[in-house]
Amino acid sequence: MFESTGGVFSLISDSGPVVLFVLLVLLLFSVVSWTIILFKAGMIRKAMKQSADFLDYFFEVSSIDKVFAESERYRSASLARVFRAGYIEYRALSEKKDARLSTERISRAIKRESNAESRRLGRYVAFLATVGNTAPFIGLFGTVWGIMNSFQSIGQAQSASLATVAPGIAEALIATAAGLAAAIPAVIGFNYFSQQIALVERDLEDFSTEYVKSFVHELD
Amino acid sequence: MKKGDAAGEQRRLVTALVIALVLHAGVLGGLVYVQGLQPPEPEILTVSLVSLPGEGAQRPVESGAEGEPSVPDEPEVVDLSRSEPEPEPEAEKQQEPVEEPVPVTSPEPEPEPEPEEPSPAVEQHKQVPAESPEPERSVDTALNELQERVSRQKPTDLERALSRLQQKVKAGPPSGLYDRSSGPGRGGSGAVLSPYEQYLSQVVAIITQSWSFSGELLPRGQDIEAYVAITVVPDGDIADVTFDRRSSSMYFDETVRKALELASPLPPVPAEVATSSLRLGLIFTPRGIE
Repeated sequence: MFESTGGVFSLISDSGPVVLFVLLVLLLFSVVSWTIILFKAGMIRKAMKQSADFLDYFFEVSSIDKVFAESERYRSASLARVFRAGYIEYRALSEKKDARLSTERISRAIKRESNAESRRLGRYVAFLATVGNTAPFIGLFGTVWGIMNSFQSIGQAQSASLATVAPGIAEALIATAAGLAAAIPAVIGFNYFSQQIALVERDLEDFSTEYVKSFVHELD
Repeated sequence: MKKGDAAGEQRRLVTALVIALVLHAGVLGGLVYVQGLQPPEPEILTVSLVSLPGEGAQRPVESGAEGEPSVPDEPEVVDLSRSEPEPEPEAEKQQEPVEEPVPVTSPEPEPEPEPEEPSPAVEQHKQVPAESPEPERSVDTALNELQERVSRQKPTDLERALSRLQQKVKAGPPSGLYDRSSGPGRGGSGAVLSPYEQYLSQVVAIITQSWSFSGELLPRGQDIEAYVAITVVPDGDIADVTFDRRSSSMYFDETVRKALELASPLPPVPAEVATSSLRLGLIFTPRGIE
C-alpha cells in the first residue's frame, strides 16, 4: 500500500516463486479456455446455422439423391453429416431388398454418426468446466501460500503495522483475482456451449427417425 | 473429406489460439497502460536530518503525501506577518501622517523568539501607545485616535494569542533539548559538523530506519508532534525514554516508542561529545525527526 506504487505488476514482481507459478498456470488456463471458447463459438454457430438451412432443403426436396448431392455444401451441419452417413449405408444396401434388416442397419449407422457428432461438438468443452471448477481453488492456493509467507515475514520484522502487513496480502490476493479472471469466462462458456450442444443433440435425435423413414420409403 | 475436415478444424483451432493470445496480451497491455496513467502515489517519506539543513528542515517533504496530516509550520508564520499588519498602514495613513517626532519605543519585550517577519509587524503596533498620549488634539482627532487604538488593540491581542500558541507549538516543552534548527543543518550548507551534530545525525538516521508507521491511521488535520527526551549512556544503550509532550495520537506515540526500542543500542557516544550519559531531545512528526 505504501511502497508499492506500481500497481498490479509491481505486486507480481514482488511475489514469491509459488505465487508466480500459480499465476503462470492460471494464465495458461485462461489462454487455453479462451482458445476453446473462440473455437467452439465459431464451430457451434456454424453447425446450427447450416443445420437449419439443410433441414429447409431436406423438407423442400423429395429426392434423397438430390438432398445428398446438396448436403456436400453443408459440411459443418450436424444434421447433414448424419444424413450422409445414413445415405451411404442406404446406398450399400440398395441391392438387398430386405426392408427390416435395411431399416435396422440404416438406423444403426445414423445412431453411430449422431454419437460421433455429439462427441465432435462436445470435444474440449469439458476443459472449460475443469478450468471453471479448479481455477478459483488454484488461485486460492496461491493466496494462502502468499499470506503464509507474508505472516512469516511480519513475524521476522516484529512489527504488525499496516505497512508491513498490507503489501504481502495484496501480493497474495493477486492469485485469487487471477483465478477468478480465468474461471468466470470458462464457466460462462461452458454453460452456453452445453446448452447449445444439448439443442443440437435433440435435433439429431428428432431427425434421425425422419431420415430413416425417408430412406425406407425410398427402398420400398 | 474427413482429412480435409480435420485440417480445417486444426486451422481454426490455431486461429482461435492466436486470437486468445492476442486478447490476453491486449488485456495485460491495457492493464499496464492504465496503471501507467495513474499518478504515482506519493511514497511515505523518510526524512533524515543530514540532508535537511537549517530552517528549511521541514520543507522538502511533500506535504500532499497521502495519509499525512499536512500541517506545515511555515504557513502559520506567514499568516501572522501578512494578514495582521495589513490594516495597519492604512489606518496610520488616515490618522497619523506624521510620525517623526515620536520616539519609537517598544515598551514590552517581544513575546516571540521568531526570527522572521512578525517582529517588525509587532514593532509597528508598539508605536501606537507611544503616539497616543498627545494633549493638543482636537476632540475629533482624539476620538479618531481612540477608535484607532481600539481597532489596533484587538488585532494585537489576537496576534499575541496567536503568537503564544505558535510559540507553544514551536518551542515545545520549555527545554533547551528541543532546538528545532539544531543538528547538522544549523551552520548552513558549507559548515563543518561538530562531533555532537555528527553523532546526532547518526542517531536520527538509525531511529528513522527503525521507525515505521502508517499515515492513514493518524488523525487528519492536526499537528502531530511528540517531544521525546532520550538518555544515551556512553556505550550507546538508550537508558531512558521520556515523553516530554505526547502527540495527539496514541498510535503515533506508540510507533515512536517502538522505534526507540528497536534503535537501541545506538552507536557508542564519542568521547568528544560526552563522557557521561548524553541527553538528547527529539521531535517526532509524521514528516520525520527534527
